[in-house]
Amino acid sequence: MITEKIARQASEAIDSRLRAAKFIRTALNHVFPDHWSFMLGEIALYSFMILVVTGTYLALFFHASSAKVIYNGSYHALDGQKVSVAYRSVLNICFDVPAGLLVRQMHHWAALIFLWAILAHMARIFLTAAYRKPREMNWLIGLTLLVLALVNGFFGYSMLDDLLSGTGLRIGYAILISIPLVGPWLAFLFMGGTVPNPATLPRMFALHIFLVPGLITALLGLHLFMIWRQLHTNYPGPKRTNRTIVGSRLWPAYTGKSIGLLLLVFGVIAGLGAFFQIDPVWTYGPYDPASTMAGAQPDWYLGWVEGALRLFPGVNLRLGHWLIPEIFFPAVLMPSLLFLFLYSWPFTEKLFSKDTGDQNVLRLPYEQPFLTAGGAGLFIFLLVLLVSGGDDFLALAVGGSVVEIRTILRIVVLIAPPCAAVLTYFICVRVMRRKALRTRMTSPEASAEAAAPDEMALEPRPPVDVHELTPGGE
Amino acid sequence: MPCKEGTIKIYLSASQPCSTPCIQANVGNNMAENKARARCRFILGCAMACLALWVLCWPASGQTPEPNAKPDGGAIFAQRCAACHGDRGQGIAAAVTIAGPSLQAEHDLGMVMTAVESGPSHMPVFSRVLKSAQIQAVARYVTTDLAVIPLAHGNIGEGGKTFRMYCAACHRTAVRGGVLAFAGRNAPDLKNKSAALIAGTIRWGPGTMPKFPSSVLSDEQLASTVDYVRFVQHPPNPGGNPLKQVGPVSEGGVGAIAVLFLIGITGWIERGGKG
Repeated sequence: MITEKIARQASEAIDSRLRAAKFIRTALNHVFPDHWSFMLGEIALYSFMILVVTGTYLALFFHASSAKVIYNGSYHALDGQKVSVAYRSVLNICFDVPAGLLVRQMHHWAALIFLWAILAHMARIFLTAAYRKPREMNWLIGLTLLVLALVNGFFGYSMLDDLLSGTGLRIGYAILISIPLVGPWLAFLFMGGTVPNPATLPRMFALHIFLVPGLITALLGLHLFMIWRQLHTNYPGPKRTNRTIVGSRLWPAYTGKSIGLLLLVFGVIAGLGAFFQIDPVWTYGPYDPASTMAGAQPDWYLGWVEGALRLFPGVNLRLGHWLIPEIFFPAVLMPSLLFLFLYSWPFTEKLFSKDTGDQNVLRLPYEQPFLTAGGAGLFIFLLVLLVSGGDDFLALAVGGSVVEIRTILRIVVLIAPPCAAVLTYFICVRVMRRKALRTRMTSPEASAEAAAPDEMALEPRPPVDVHELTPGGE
Repeated sequence: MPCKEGTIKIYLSASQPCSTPCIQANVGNNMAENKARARCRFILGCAMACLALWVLCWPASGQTPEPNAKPDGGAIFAQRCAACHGDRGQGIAAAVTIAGPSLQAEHDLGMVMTAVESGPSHMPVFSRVLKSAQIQAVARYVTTDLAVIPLAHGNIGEGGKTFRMYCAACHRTAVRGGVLAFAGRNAPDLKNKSAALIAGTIRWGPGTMPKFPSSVLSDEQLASTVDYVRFVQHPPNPGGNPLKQVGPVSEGGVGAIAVLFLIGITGWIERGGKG
């Protein structure tokens, strides 16, 4: 009773000053539709929150400087070795800072999960055509968030100055300067010239902890605001039209679900950080431009670019006295075309679509076989590239020659996507026919429709007689 | 022997570890070197052919003292091996016949016996010349009396540096092996290899692996490298399952499984926590 009284007095005190009651009342009654696939973006949101929290802790102990010092610390296998200040601070985080290794591993795992969740969320948007009017702008913002997440992931991976990240940074630098005309200037802007140089780490650090996360936060706010403003989409179903929305209110049902998901995402990431080692920089050793290591890969979200680099044949293009090196095509041109396609897709799709006006009811993937088939083909293409990025471990696992495996993958990357697309198309058409059939069988007004002569082909055949199947029968 | 002094010099330059592609990138290559290498391969081929003939035509009368006497490894070494490997197994840089590598890091009995029996690279095959007892005796002599390079008490830090410089490009920093762009020949996993075997292999350079003679790696560097490899075979684990030390590939896979699990959780939440 007393708590109730205190709560009432406090809320009245706040409301008399901020006049928040009206807004909060509408906000708490805001309706969100119930479906598991609408929570994929939330996984990304919550892993981003974990990234910010863990990253803040790590920033207290990380020093982005490539000045050389002699290491004498808890990891004795590097005693007396010349390492950079940045690398030493990472070793200190791993071995000396309280909970440093746990937080660092959580940060890295959260980054991997962030990108996987963005991918899953984006696949859902794409396959249900949720990007249609009025949500085209939010699709563009979401894509920009993906690009920023990829870039920031690369910065985080590269600034530890261990042998793996240094190797990755060299590849990133090579990709950057392969861009015709502007490449070297971009390298000067982002990396301070040829890599490695003393300006690279501080520049990446500032971008990684300040500029890019700031942009991500701002765009995330805009992303969520637009969802709020435009209301969420609905899957087709009873009472669900372009003007109505069916689901649970923000308070209490949706809040409960969402906080539950937040805690579970946090739990999974903390569990990964505690029980699975990630990026053991002490094993990789400090970066030295003269050294390199076999089995060097980027984190998975750039593995498809690595795979494209490995699969693409060594063909340089000469235009007059200009040379466009081979890595430009797989590592700059291919991703650029991919993102150009994705950015323009809501507008390109309008050319084929008959939809007019606002679209708040989603299409199911099988209702748009052509688009779903395209998405499946694109997914398989990127998946084969991702596998090719680890083709050396594939060769180790199957005990074959990496040269032969790469040849096979070069064929697979061309053949598998169209096959997957065609297969998906036919599966969608089949599912669509079956669903149409079921509707006609169940709903009374549709059964009259089904009697029309041109719909007869959709009728099921009579059950097969058992006698016909016995061998040697009549 | 039909070998001239000039032959030996060219051959020695080819026997440097620079002849493998990965190191070659650091050293740089030029036309003259390639030509010299091609020439030395040809001369080396001739020399090997002569040697093979010489070994095959070796008269059987030379062997067969009393069958029950214990063979003297030192004597066999002086007779069969010292010409190429030096009388103390120190290796010969430029000598009368073909130069052999130093054996002073060959602590592994089995590997020396294999080498004597099978004759790796340009070494003659002795399996038809020496009996197995004799091979064992000479291998024991090499590993106990000649292998004087100490393998303990290296500097792990320096060894790590050397390993990253020369070895990690094929064996990975985690010493778990890696692939090479040669058909079916991959750099092996070093996890269960003994210190004796590692040291001898570094000097010997079997198969596709380059040799690292004392002109490239000093005895101290060798001992340090061996120490480092032995250390990384069982690296300290400050926390978490190392996922077979594969790196970003296995980490991405675990991340994908975790996200699939979380997607499953969203379904579970939508069903009200049931089922």
